[in-house]
Amino acid sequence: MTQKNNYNPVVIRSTTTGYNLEQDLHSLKIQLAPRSFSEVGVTTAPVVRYSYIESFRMHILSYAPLAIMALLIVFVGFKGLPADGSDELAMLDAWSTDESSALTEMSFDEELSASDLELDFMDQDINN
Amino acid sequence: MTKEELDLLYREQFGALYRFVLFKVRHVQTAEDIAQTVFVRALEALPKYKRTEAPASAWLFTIARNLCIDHYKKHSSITPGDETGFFSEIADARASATQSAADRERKQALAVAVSELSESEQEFVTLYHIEEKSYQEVSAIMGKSEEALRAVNHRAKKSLKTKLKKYYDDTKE
Repeated sequence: MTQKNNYNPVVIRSTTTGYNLEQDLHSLKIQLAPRSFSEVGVTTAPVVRYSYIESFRMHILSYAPLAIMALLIVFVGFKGLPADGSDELAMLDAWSTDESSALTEMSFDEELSASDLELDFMDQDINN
Repeated sequence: MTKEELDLLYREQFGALYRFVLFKVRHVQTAEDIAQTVFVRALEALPKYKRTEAPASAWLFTIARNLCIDHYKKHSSITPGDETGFFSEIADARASATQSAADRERKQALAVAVSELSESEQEFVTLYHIEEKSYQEVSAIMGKSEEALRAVNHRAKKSLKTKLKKYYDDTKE
């Protein structure tokens, strides 16, 4: 995949020092190798370290559509319940209102006779 | 390009990307971080990547260059050149046992001199001389014609030899 250059460097050899600029430049490749590579001594794949922001973007945001869907389902589900349930609750409320009003409309004598009837019924039950 | 192809390309180019960034930011940890972020950015942009005549590595180097620009925008207080001295430290750390002190000193001076070149000269020296990439590939990465690159090469070498006269004081070229 990598294309090496075929440039044959002109040997720039100093008459006084004998150092070659191109060779020295090329040697910087080893001199300035990434830490992990030079320490291990072999060419290995670098460990990709992600920052917290990158991790958030890669992992959390990838689940964002699913989270939105779940929220929508929950929202629609909850919103649907009171529409049906409210009628039942209203009916229950109306019924209890009727009952309570019916009770309050009973006179004292009616209540007394009702309790006597109940006591009689209980006595009969005990005797039996 | 598939993820596997990108992974292979990145592994192959990691060292070159690291050095390319290192000469720009002059900080080992930052250079490593940026070189690694190149992969993340490339992975994100992979669905949009379209093959062109330019080698795929050129795409990675363009991402690396943009990340360096972003880095300096975010850290505007840091100006290139603040950390020049660090080349001496890393050159010392990587020096082999057989390398003489004079050799180390010369290469440290050379690394510092390369980091002080102009942006285009520095990129050219890094890609062509240090990484041994072809003129065609360097041309694709830097977006300059081969003719323009030859001129950059001439200027860069002249500048390096002027700065490092005591090591490369040649009388004939």
